Amino acid sequence: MTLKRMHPFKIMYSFMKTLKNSLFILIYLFVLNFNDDSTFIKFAKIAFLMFLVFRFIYLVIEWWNTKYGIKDRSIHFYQGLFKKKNRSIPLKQVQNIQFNSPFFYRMFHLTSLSLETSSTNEEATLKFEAINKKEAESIEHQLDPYKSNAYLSGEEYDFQEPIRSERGRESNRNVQFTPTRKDVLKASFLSFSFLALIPILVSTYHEFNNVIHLDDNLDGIWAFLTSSWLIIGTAVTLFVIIAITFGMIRTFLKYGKYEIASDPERIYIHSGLLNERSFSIRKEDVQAIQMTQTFLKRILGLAEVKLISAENINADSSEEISTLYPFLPIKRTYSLIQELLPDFQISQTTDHLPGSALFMRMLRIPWFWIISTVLLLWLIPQWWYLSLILLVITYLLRILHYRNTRYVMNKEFIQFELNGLNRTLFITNRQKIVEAEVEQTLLQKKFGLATIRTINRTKPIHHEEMKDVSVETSKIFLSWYQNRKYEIQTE
Amino acid sequence: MDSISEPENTISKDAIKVWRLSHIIEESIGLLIVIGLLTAGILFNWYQWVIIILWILAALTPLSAIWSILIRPIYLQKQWRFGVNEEFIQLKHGIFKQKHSIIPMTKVQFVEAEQGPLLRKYKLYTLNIGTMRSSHSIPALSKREAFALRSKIAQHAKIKEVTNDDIKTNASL
Repeated sequence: MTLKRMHPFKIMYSFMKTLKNSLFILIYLFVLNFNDDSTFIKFAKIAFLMFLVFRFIYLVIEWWNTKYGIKDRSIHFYQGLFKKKNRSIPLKQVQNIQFNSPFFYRMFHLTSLSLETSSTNEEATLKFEAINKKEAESIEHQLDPYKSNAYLSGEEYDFQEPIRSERGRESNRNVQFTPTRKDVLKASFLSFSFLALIPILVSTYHEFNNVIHLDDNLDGIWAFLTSSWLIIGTAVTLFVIIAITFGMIRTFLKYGKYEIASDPERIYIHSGLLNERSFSIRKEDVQAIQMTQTFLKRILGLAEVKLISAENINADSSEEISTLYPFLPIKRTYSLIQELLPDFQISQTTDHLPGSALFMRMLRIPWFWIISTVLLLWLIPQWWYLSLILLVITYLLRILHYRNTRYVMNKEFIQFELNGLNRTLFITNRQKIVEAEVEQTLLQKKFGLATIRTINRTKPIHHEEMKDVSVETSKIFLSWYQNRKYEIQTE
Repeated sequence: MDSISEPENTISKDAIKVWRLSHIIEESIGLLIVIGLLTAGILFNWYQWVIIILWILAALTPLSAIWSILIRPIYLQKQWRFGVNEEFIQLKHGIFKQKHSIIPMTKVQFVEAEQGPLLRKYKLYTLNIGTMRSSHSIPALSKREAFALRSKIAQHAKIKEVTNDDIKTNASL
């Protein structure tokens, strides 16, 4: 086995990260107190520079000591200076693959590769911060046994000559979805929906101004802006234009070049114009599918489809990317799910909640309303009427949600759907549910109702529940779940 | 569709005594802390509202003690049900909020019998069942029952589910 190191760019990457983390100190010492000659600042500057030098040396050594290689169908990772660490991860365990190539990485043909495993401990993710793109791809290539076996035949493989069967791969991989220009335009329209807030903000500002005179504190900027309608108009138009341009550019960069592809084993999502990202997930590892449509997306006929998989590392990045595409045309959504994940069959969600569920829901204590009313009466008592409006909205929403909540247990699938202002649809398979739960409060018992809950094997655990189904349904649910025993295969 | 068998096994009656003992200890520690803080507050002139809150807490302690020492253990013991068959573990418990969970045997990763000093006094064990992502426990089982259950679950849990992905791998190798 030939051991390889990361690309030296890794040192730069980590060093930049250090600088970023100590940005505050940097600004404090070298910008705010640049001309300060006091001994303390002087020493602090020297100490900080020494720290940077040592950090750099450390990073170089760390880079030198970190090696990896693939042997016997596992990735071996050696790292550590004083404390040697040796990790090996069977390729089979890798579930999700993620490439991240920010713009400046792409100039050097680099990428950062994350391999997410199903392991439960902390080090579930193997991260190659900076490696050559070709190499990353060849690692990816070896992850799927049926692909790599074709040319590896079990022997060890080093990265000297990246064997690429590009053509063979292309024929396997089918592009299932790329957004049209119209889709992206719609998507960018959603990204500046916040503009609708402007009139509200302005009027709120006015209201507040009457109470606490913000103007005095803002040095009359506001007074100048509001001095004539012409200036107001210009300022607002300018702001709107800037916001729209910004929103559109951002959307195009992020979602403009987008590709969802699949082969029999995996789903591949590729995105980004400047900062490229790609993500692939094994189909078997998709635990559940969640489709959401916000109110605005409903109007535009768009939907977001999220694949819930075992491992959702650092919620910041992967959360977003395990989304198929946040702006899928609704017409395409169902067929796309069918094509990508034939294991999941979405059907009509037919079963309603029983009538007593409405009573139950009306009786629940409206905590949100109580807390906001207390806050409102405490802070701005002259707006007491808002509390009444909120109360009406709360109860109207309860009725709306009651009427539009549906579920169905169809063969091995369970489906929950809420079709209020927003729409969410959740579907999973009983084989992928690791625990089923029925909960009943005393009040629910009075009405003959219960809450059913499914728990999927993800990290963090994904709970999905349906409140106030009838007791009979909850019993059916439990026995439906127990019938998984006929489907699972055991060793 | 099969009708499900409701879990029927109960936990030991001595659970009531164990819970009572442990709550007596807990409540007295709580009371001691509140009294300690209250004395300190009065001696060192803390804010009035802090002292008021401490008085309220002190007044609530007897009520919560009556509930948690006298009443709750009886109902909790009465409501606890569990059942174990070849495929599933079922747990059902709770007074105000009753929870009925079903855990497939194939998802069980470990099972252990545990005994603290209080449980030892009554020769009881708590059975902890760990799955991939969570942990459940059946409190207060007699030694015989706990050990029998432990080996039963361990036996059944040995069987592991095959995911499609494994089959494929094996076939391709």
